[in-house]
Formats: sequence, C-alpha cells, structure tokens
Amino acid sequence: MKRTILLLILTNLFSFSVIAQQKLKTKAVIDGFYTTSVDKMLDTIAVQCKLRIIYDPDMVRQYSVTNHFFNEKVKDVLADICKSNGLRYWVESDQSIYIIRWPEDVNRLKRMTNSKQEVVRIVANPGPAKIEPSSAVKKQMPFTVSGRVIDHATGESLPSAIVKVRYSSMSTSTNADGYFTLLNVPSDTCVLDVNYIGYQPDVYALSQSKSRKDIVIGLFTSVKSLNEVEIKDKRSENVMSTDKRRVSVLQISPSKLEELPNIGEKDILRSFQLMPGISASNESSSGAYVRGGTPDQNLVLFDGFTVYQVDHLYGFFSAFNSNAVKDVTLYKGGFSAKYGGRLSSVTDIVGKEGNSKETTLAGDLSLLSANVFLEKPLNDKSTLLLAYRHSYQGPLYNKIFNKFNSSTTVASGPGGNRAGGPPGMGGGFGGGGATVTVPSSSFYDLNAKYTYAPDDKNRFSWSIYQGNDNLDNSRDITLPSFISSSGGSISNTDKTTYGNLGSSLKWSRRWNTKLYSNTLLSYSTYHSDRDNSNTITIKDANGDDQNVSNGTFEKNNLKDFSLKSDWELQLSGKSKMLFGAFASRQNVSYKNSQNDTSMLINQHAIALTGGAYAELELNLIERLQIKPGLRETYYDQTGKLYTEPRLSATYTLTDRLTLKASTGKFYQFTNRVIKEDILAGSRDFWVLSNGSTIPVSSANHYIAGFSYETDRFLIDVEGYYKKLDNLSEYSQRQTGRRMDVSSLEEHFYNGSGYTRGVEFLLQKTQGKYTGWVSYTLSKAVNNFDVYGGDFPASQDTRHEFKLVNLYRYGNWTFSATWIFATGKPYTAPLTSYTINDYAGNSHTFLTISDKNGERMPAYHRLDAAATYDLIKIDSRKTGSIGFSLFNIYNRSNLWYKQYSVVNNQVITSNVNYLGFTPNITLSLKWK
Amino acid sequence: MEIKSTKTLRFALIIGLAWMSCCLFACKKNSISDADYARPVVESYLVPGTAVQVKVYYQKYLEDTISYGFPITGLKLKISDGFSTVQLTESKEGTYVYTDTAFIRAKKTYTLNFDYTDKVISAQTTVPDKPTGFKASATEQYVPPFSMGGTQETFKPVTFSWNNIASWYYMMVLKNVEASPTKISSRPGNSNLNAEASLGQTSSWQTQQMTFNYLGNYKVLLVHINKEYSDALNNNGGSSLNLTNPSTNITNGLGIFTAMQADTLNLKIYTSTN
Repeated sequence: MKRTILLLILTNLFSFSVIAQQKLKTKAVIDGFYTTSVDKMLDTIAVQCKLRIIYDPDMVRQYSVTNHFFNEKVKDVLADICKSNGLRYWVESDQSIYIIRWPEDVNRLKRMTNSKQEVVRIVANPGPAKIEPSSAVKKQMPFTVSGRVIDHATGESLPSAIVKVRYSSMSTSTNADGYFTLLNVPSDTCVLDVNYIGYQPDVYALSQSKSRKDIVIGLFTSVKSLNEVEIKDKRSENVMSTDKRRVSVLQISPSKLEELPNIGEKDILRSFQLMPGISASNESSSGAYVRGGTPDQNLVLFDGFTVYQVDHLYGFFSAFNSNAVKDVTLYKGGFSAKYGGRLSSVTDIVGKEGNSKETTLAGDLSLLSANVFLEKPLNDKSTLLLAYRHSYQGPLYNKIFNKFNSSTTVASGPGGNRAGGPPGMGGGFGGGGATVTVPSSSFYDLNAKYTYAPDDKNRFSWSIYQGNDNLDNSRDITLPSFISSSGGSISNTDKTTYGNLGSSLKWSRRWNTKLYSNTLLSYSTYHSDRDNSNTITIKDANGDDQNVSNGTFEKNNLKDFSLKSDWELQLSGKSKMLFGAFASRQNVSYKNSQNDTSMLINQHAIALTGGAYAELELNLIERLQIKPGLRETYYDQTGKLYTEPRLSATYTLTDRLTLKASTGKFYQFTNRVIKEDILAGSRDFWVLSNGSTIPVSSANHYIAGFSYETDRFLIDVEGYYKKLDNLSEYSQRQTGRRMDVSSLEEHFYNGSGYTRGVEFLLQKTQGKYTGWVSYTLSKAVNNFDVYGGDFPASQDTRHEFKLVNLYRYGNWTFSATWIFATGKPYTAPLTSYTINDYAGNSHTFLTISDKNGERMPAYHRLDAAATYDLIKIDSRKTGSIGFSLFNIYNRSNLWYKQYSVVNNQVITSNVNYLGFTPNITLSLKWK
Repeated sequence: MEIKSTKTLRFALIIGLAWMSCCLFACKKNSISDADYARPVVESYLVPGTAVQVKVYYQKYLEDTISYGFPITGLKLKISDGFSTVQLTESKEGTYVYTDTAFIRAKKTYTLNFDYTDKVISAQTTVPDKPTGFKASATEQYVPPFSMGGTQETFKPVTFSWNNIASWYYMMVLKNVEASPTKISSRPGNSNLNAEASLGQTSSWQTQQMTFNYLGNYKVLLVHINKEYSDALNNNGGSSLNLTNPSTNITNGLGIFTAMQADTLNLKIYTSTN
C-alpha cells in the first residue's frame, strides 16, 4: 500500500513536470473545422499526425470539440482540447500521448493498455480512426495482411516477432527482416496482437484502407518504470523465452542480458547455459554443449555466415558483442531443413542494423573490457552500425589468463613422461640478474554493418565481424654481462593467436506479399596459430646475431566462402514453403612443425559443398502444424549425396497445452578436433571429413514434448534421443625421445554414440518476480572400439539443475542463479610402476582407468547480480550500473586433475575453475 | 490465482531442493580395485650369450614415494624355448635368474610363465637377427664447449648407418666405459652415464651436441629390438589429459619381456680444455 502511495506521488511529480517540460516532437499540424466528440477528434489527430494516443473512451465520451484550427500545431490543439474539457495530456518518452484527468490516470491507462482491456483506445501509428473489437466482425472476403514489425524508437526490424490475429488461431512470425504475411485474414476489422521478447506487446487494429497495403508496426521496448503495471501478455518481459509453437527453440533478448549475473561481460552464449538441455558446468567453454553434443556440433551463424571461433580468452567469454546483436535463437535439435552441416544444434545470431532515426552512442565499461557502440542513420535509406570491444589486462583478465599459464611447470622425470605442466617454460628463467619483460595479451572484436534500403522491396546489408585473441605468455630475457661478454638473449615465445574474420553481403527482396528472398554471399576465415618456442640469440665471432630456435609451431587455417539463397513462399493461409540453395568452398590446413625445420604434420584440404532444401509449413487442421522438410547436400570429398529428411509438428490441444515433436537426420562435414591434453599446444583445430580416417558424421534426432502455459507460468517438458554415427576422435602421440627428432603420430578413432534425456522447465513469466527452474536428466554415451565399447562421453552430465530468479524493484533488478551439475567423467591414473630400460635408466608409467571411468565431484555455484537502471525523468533509459558476484560461496569446482611424474613419483594436483569473482559494469547511452 | 501460483512455485522449489540434496549425497567415491593393483610388473631383456634375468615387482599406489615397486618374492618362473623348459632361481628378492649363457640363442622364441594370485602370467618373445652393415663416419667425436654469448664452435656430428631393408626396429645405446667418467660440462641436467634412444625403423643416426654427457670411451650399441620394446618404452601417455594405458606384452601383467641383439662400435668423446 505504501508503495502504491509512493508511486502515486512519484507519478504526480513526473506528470506535472512532464506537462511543463516534455516536448512533443511532432511538427504535424491540424487544419480544418471540427465539431465532434473528443474521442473521434483524438482518433483523427492520431491518424493524421501519426501519433500514438492512449485514452479511456469512457472518460472522454462526454466531452466534445467545436473549433476551427488553422494549421495549428498538434501540441496546441491538444492543449486546447484538454483545457476546454478539464483534461491534461502526458507525453511519454516514446512520444505516446496519454489523455488523463488526474496524474495517476497515466498509470491506470498503461495498466489497461497492457492488459488490453477493450475499454482503452490505443490509436497507434498509423492506426485507423475507428476500432471495434472483433466481436463485431463484419462478414467479408478473406484478404492478405502483410507488413513489417520494427522497433519504434530505432527503426530496427524485429525478426521472429509473433503476429497473431486476435480470437483466431492464425499467427505467424516475422522473418529475418521483420516482414510478415498473414493470408486469409477473415476481416479487415481484425485486431493483430504483436509480441516480441524484450518489448511491450502491442495491438494493431486493421482497417479497410490500411490493410490493403504494407503496414508497419512499431514496438516499444519494455521499460522498468512500467514494472508496477500488471502485464498479462505472453513472454514479453523475459530475458529468455521458449516458443511453444516451435520445437526445441530458445530465444534471447540481448537488451535484457545485463540483468543476469555475469563473469565480466554480458554473454549471449553463456546465458543460454541457464536453460535446460544446455550444459552449464563448462566454465572454460562458452560454446554450447547442447543435449550431450559438443560445441563443434553447434552451428553458429552471425548475420548468415558461419563463425568457427565462438569464444575469447580460452573460452571464458563468447566472441559476440551483445551490443551489436539484435536477436539470438538457439535450436536445440530437430531443426529446420534451412540449416545443416551440424549434428546437434544451431545458434542463429542476427546483428543490429543500426538506428534509422537518430544517432546513438553508447559505451560499457567492465572490469574486463571496454565497449563502444555507435549507430547512425546516414541518410533516409541507409544506416551504419559500429561496435568495438577491447579487453584490458585488469585483475579479472589476469585471473583467467593465469589459470592457463600459472607456473606449475614440473621438470620431466628421467623416464621421459611428459609432465603435465602448462606450455612454455614460463617459470624457468629469470634468475641471475637477467631482465625479463612480460608482454601483454588481449582480445578484441569489431562489428560493422551498413544497411541500405533503396525502396520498400529491397534491402542490402554488408556486415563485418572480426574477433581476435592474442594470448602471449612469452618471456624475453636479456643476458646480464657477467654471463656473456658480447651480449645475447634468450627469448621464450609462447604465443597463441586465434580469431575469426567474417563478412557477408546480403540482399533481401520482397517480390510481392507472398514471395520473399534472402541471398547471402559470405566469407569467413578462422585462424589459430601457436608458437611455443625458444629462440636463443648469440653473437658469433664476427659480431653477427645467430638465432637458434626450437619448439613447436602449429598453424590451423580455415577459409569458408559461401553463397546461399533462402526463399519464403506463402502458398495459402494454411501453408508456407521455405526453399533455397547453398554452396560453399572450405579450405582447411593444419601444420605442426618443430624446430623451424621439421614438419611433423602438414594437412591441407579443400572441400566443395553444395545443395538445396525445401520445407513446407502446413496447418492442415486448425490446431495442427506440420513442417516436413528435405535437405540434399553434395560433398565432394566423398563424392556422395547426403539426404536429410526433417519433420516437426505441433498440436495445440487446448489454448494452454501444446504437444510437439520433431525428428530428422543431420550430417556434419567439418569437425573441430579437441586435443586430449589441453595444456600442450593448440587446444583444438578444424579438419574436414575425408571419408576415410575422418568419416562424415551423422545424427538422428527424436524429440517429443509438451508445453503448458498459464497466465503466469510456463511449463515445458521435452524428451530427446539422439543417435550419433561416425564420430571421430583424434589424438597425437609423440614418439621418439631425447636424442633424436621426435615424430608425431596421428590417430583417428572412429565410433558411434547416443545421447538421451528429459528436460523440465517451469518458468514464471509475469510479475515483478520472474525466473525459472530447470532440470535436465541426461546421458551421453560414446562407443569406440579402441576404448573397448561403450563409455560415457566427456561431456556426459547426469543431472543438471538450474534456478534463475529475477526480481524488479523500482529501478533495480536483482538476480540470482544457482547451478548444480553432476561431475563430468574423466580418465584417471590408478597406479604407477617403474622399470629400467636396457641401458639401465628408469621409466615410470601410469596404469589408467577405463576411458572416462571416473567422475569429478559435482559442480555447483551461486551467482548474483544487481542492476540499477539510470532512467531519466521522462523514463528514457540512459544507462545502467551492474554489480555482479560470480561463485558467491567460493565453491572449488574441479576443472581437471593434473598428474606429473617426478623422480618416479606421481604428483597429483587439482586445477579448479574460477572462485569468487566480483564485477562491475557501467553502461551509458548518449543520443 | 496469485496464491495458488505462489504455492505451486513453492512446491516446485521444495521438490527441487529435496532432489538436489539427494544428488549431493548420492555421489559415490571411486576407489582402485584390487584387480587393478594385482597385476605384477615384469622386466626382462634376453640377449644371446648372456644369462637370463627377470625382475618382478608390485605396482605402486599413486601416493607411494618409493622409486620402484616392492619386489615380488617366492615365485616359480619358467622359461621355455619350445624344446626345453628351465626353472629360474631367485638370486635376490624379486630377481630371478638362469645362469646358462648359452640358453638364449638367435632366432629362437622364448615363453615366460608363472603363477601369481591364481592367475597365469605369461609373455613371449623372439630373438631378432643381429644388425648388419653397422658403420660410423668417424671413431672420435669432438664436442665443442658450450659458451653462451661467446664464439660458438660448430658441432660436427658422427653419422652411424646400417642396413635396414626389412624396416626393423632399432635403438641406440651409448655406454660409457671409462673407470672414472668426467662430465663434459658443469651444467645441471640429465647426467645419465649411459643413454638409449629409440630410433624406430630408420637406417642411420647422427650424434648431436647434447647426446653425450661424459668424456672418454663409449661403446655404441646398435640394438635390433622387437616392436614390443619400442611400444612399451616409448609411451608418452603419462601426461595430464593425455592418459593412455602403457603398452605391454605381458599377459595378466605389466612391463616388458623382450629379446634383442646388438652390434657394437667404439667412439671416443673429447673436448678442448678452455
């Protein structure tokens, strides 16, 4: 009660001050003689001046207007109408106008608007003059409605927004450019409900004149000042949503990400890890382990091109700057025929186009990185977006960096067992007065996008993404003069650079209301270079520098050049067809060399892939939607044609209960190989399937589930079974010892596997307190002959429980997440033994458990965050301050165990994940 | 509705928490089974013209700090060459010998057999042919003193070569035969007097600057080995996350039982005194 009073007072203050200060931006004028009721007058103003006016018809019905306006400004007209009738108006920051009698009416109207009570008239741009609820539908010939859903403030198109005809089962979602088409809409007096995650739901009333041409629906971002409002609409305010009409689909709103706890950055991929089916216990990988799959089985698309390196800083942060991202959709399985080339899942990231209305400059500063973001309309037809993020070597960066580079080097025992120390010999030097310089490491990423829309039909955009990590743990040692009279130096290089450069040129065209195409030419490169070597520079007798290098050098390069064209055809009100073709050329090389000269591995492969797909979206009967699809791919390395049939279906049993199922076959031609020893050399590299040592892997998905939705809760349950065939595992074995140049043996092991599981989600979707509880019961088993049959896959986690709580109080959002996961399996040494070789030198060996026969202790941690929104008096958000606490009770979660043999004894040490880590993020926005 | 929802949520939370606590206490701790530890470790190299010696050890637990496993005593080891079977005697704890130097002969196949904890431990090996055509490019090796920053003399390697038409496995053993060996430099590091290098299926080998730790006369043995030796001793799978079981040719056991034959050349190592 107290709060309500406080709110009223605040609202009063706001309202009065706003009336005095807030400027209505429109320059529209009203001309003509009017003698009508106030509600009709307001409707007229709204339509003529393209404004959004919200009022209570009951309140204004009694008033009337009789006046002659001579090109008078809207503001003056409104003032005049209000003054003569004892009313006031309030202009919201989004330029919506509320007609009120008392200041608290604003809140009431908002509440009514959001609950869509029929008594409220919202006259939205460019809405009709008259709105009738569809109960008064006139019988008419069905017709087609098409249009676009955009962000009202920035003009940014909104993909995957849901447009639904009220009181009917007709609904559609917008495509990548925000376009939608509804065929066979029964009447031009229907009302459309528009929903998009992170935005206020909106209604759009059709009219005879407007419904014949393209309509534009501008949505307003949800603002926290509206939190007192009871919102009864679907999934509008959540950071994460599951789409009950689609199978295994998760959607995220990047603008809401800051409300979740983070390690140092708002992280798109990591946020998905809070949902069921996506493993959350991989702190060292922001890649997605979806339903027992590995991150390389997850296709990551950014503006249409494939991104091969999805993380920064050894995997702790995802490589995507959330400021430049508009929409992220994750398909957990059984995905559309539109996507292919991966076994498990698809993450489709759509970048922002940039504000087409005004220039915005924004920035974030956290303990890890600085982030600048600029969007600018260049002219009426084109926009530009730039986002740049760069890390700095603050305490957080170093904390993570040192996880991988701390000096735990243990000298090799004479037995020749490689000690499990980290790469490089970081700790070995430095004594004796030598000067050691430690170079810096960093990561950065850059997004740039230029969008050009010459007309309503065509849109061109050019998107560039570049992300790089430069991890340097090198040491330069200048020898002091007492060791070397003529000077010299030892330089120990331990440098890893990896990253992506991708660019796409997209042309999308609406041929007509029924046909839409999206053609994309893209180029994506991935590189990973590892230089772990020692260079000794010494001056010879002539005073010239002589370099002696030894160590290992690894280079992995991937170049992907692709062309694809996706088409959408509305066949009838009940069916839609998606079809398209794709071709790509991938060029992959991997080199591993030692001591400058000897090349141990030199692989090079070029693969051409091409194919086509088609998918039908059928609503045969009202409640049943079926999507059969077929994808054909030709892969030139094997010379075979791969057929992937797909099928998904949803059945709306009641308004609340939806049943869903999907199945399909999936092939993967490019694999990322993870090395067993993450500390020695590059951790992973990409290789192409060749049909022999690395076969083309395949998967079959079987998914079934249901979702039950009430006004406030969503329950979603899905079960899955995934059969995997022709999996490859790779290992390198170094042979040979001290006195000779060693050689690397490559082993590719092939096998099969399966994963199965059940996912439960209970989400509270409405109110000040939102959040969800998720539980996943799963099993991932691999079967490789070389390991003697079935064994738990390395990513196998039996139970995963996640609790996500979000609570809003005023400008504050508090969040807390708790994650529990069964420990991952690992292979452990059981005993050791020592024997002498023929020459009499001792060697110690470890006997090993069954492959992944042991389990780590359970993983759990609690994170919390508090975010304060900096909101201007006109309720425009100008920034936020976020405090985040990671791993609050400082749980020592075990990452891996390290073994080394020293003097024939085994030394075991535990390497843990991050302990308690606080972070502060400041975000600001300037217009 | 509000009250009902809250109740539902509360119920879900309680269920969740109850389940979590079950999970937390259900974690089982793995321990090493006796079967893992029971396999004995065998070490034996059969060379024609020498006596047979077989060492048998226990394995070590990971936390053990001893260098070698404890010897297993009281075993009855038998070696058969296909015609006759001999019984080995325990010369000292865990070391079993057969002193007839004529027993091991070229090209013959030998089988080791003994009972241990109701299991039969066995292994088999064949004596390989003697290397042929073993020669060296020089009989002396000059090792220039290592000077950091100063003038570095170049190291001129000695090349050893041999015939290897059948892609046999070889190793090189360097044995210092001086009565009181002198180290080449005072640098710390690997200072084994004798050293061996697995060469794989090659037919030549070059000395390197770091090959020799001591001065004086060396016997350079080119040893024709069986693949089982190369596999067992060259296992690099002991590192942290690259764990693989070491290769062994002992059935129901660990270690190595193998035969080999060598040819020998002499090499003198010298350096300048500065």
